[in-house]
Amino acid sequence: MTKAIEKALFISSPSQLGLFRDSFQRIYFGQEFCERLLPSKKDLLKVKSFCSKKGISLSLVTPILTDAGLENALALSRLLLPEDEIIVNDYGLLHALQNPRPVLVAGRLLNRQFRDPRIASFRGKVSDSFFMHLQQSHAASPEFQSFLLENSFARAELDNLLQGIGTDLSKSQLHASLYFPFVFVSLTRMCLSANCNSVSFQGKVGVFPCSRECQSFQFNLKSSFFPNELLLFGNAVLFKNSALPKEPELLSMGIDRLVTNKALQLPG
Amino acid sequence: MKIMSPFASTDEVQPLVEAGAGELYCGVVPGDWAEKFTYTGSVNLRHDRAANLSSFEELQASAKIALKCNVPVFAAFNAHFYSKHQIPLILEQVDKAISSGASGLIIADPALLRAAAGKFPEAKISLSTAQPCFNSHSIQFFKGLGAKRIVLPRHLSAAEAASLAKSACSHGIETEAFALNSICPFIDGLCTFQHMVEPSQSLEVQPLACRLNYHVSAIGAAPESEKQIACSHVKLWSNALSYDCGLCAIPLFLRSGVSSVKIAGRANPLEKKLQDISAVKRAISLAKKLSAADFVEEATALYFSLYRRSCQCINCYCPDAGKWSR
Repeated sequence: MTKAIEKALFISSPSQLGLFRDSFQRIYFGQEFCERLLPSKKDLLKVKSFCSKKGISLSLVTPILTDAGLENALALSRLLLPEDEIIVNDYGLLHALQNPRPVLVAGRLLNRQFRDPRIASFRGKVSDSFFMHLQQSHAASPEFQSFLLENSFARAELDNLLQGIGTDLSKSQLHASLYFPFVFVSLTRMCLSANCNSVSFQGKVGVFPCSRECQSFQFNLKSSFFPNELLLFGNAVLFKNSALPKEPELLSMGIDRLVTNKALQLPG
Repeated sequence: MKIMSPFASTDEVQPLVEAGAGELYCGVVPGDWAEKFTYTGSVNLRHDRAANLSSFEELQASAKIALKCNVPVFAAFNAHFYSKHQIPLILEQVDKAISSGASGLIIADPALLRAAAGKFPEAKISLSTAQPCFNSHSIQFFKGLGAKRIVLPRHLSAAEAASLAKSACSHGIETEAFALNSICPFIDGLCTFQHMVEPSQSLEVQPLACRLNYHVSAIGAAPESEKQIACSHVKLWSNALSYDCGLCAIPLFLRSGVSSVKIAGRANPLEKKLQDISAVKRAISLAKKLSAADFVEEATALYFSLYRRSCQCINCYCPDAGKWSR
């Protein structure tokens, strides 16, 4: 039987469940980048109930965490069943999760890649071997694969690099996911979206409290140095790569899941 | 509390130690590595020739001078990760660094950390700020891999840093906190903007992506007037000067058991490195004597003496510790 790629829809709020189509077999729910935006238990239960009704799987997505955020993430994880997944982007959460644990996935913040879109222009300017190195991810190294497997991770997640993907996990016991279309580039806790519309905050930056201004403002950043427009979504910089390798090519690299993260962009 | 100073040549070691550096750190990018992977693919997080030693012979000569004065030298192998082609090479280099007299290693890649801790149990392995460690459970996780010290991330408030330092102490782990220079707008360990600061192969030098003067436009339904304010705020880092400082947090770090304060700026001239050590030394001494309010006054004056300008929030490591909290 021919293998097919599992399709997952990534949402951060139950209000985005309207994006669900029957072609999706899984929902990713939560936050990759900011612990202040972790969902409530009530919202997680809503999404969980939606998944049960549709007969689809659930993955809870968690971000990088301080001690305060870790407690919230743990509280959410306790609502998961062993067959659910948790996308781990912080080693502290891995350490804190108690058995029975949901299925562990190493999120794209744990699996390092060279994500700067300018790297695509290195082709022909650097040696082929160095360019191939820049297409790899941490999970391509056998040492890191062993590390992930010993820590009970079942899957590692990847971005769709503009310079091409050089990670082949087809011979590894790890499964691989690919995020599409928004590629992660960078992250801050000195968040420029925080308090961005406040005159009294002009010129100030730091780890300050916020009123979730990121839910009302997103930004395009253009520069002649970059081939793509960069996007500031909250505290993260991303870019859009609409070119997706064909399914057989993805499967040949061990990528058996596609995570659609178009909901990152605000509607309208 | 010790002062961890950078160095980038053997000639700097003696004067830095005499000025008060209690620990030193450096990076080594050998010529064959630079040829193969360029400085853009550096062994460590500094991608410029001027920030790195170019051979392990230099490291050996440097460590010899430092160790005579009981000052340990840490070598940075803190690239975010090493690819499958690099791992055998990097393990050889770690071996050479230890043989050359490095007492400590600064590592980000957890797989390398574990391998190095297993092979060199006597080495003091610091978890680099290039591997995010924002909570107490992460400290325990990395301790389990063999880390003996955690370099606290830049993107912690002073209160969060103090709390993590106390937690680390309770787990028998040392901590190191930044005191001067080089605030990164993004989290070191999660930023994948490539630094292209040294021409190599056919790559040209490019400005740092985090400091570019972007054309910014806001998306969303907010009123135009608010969008204008917001876009102006988002451009805050554009061409911002890197006169960065965390001196105001030193009293809190002292009380929280931080074992070492770090001065960034490996490529800075020796004169600047010596001024930095002098300022941090003075701040540590004042922190032991003065009230919190008086200390902030003195730290602000120290900042002025270093940079000949008043401090600004954008250059402050810990706005909640000093004058920006008022």
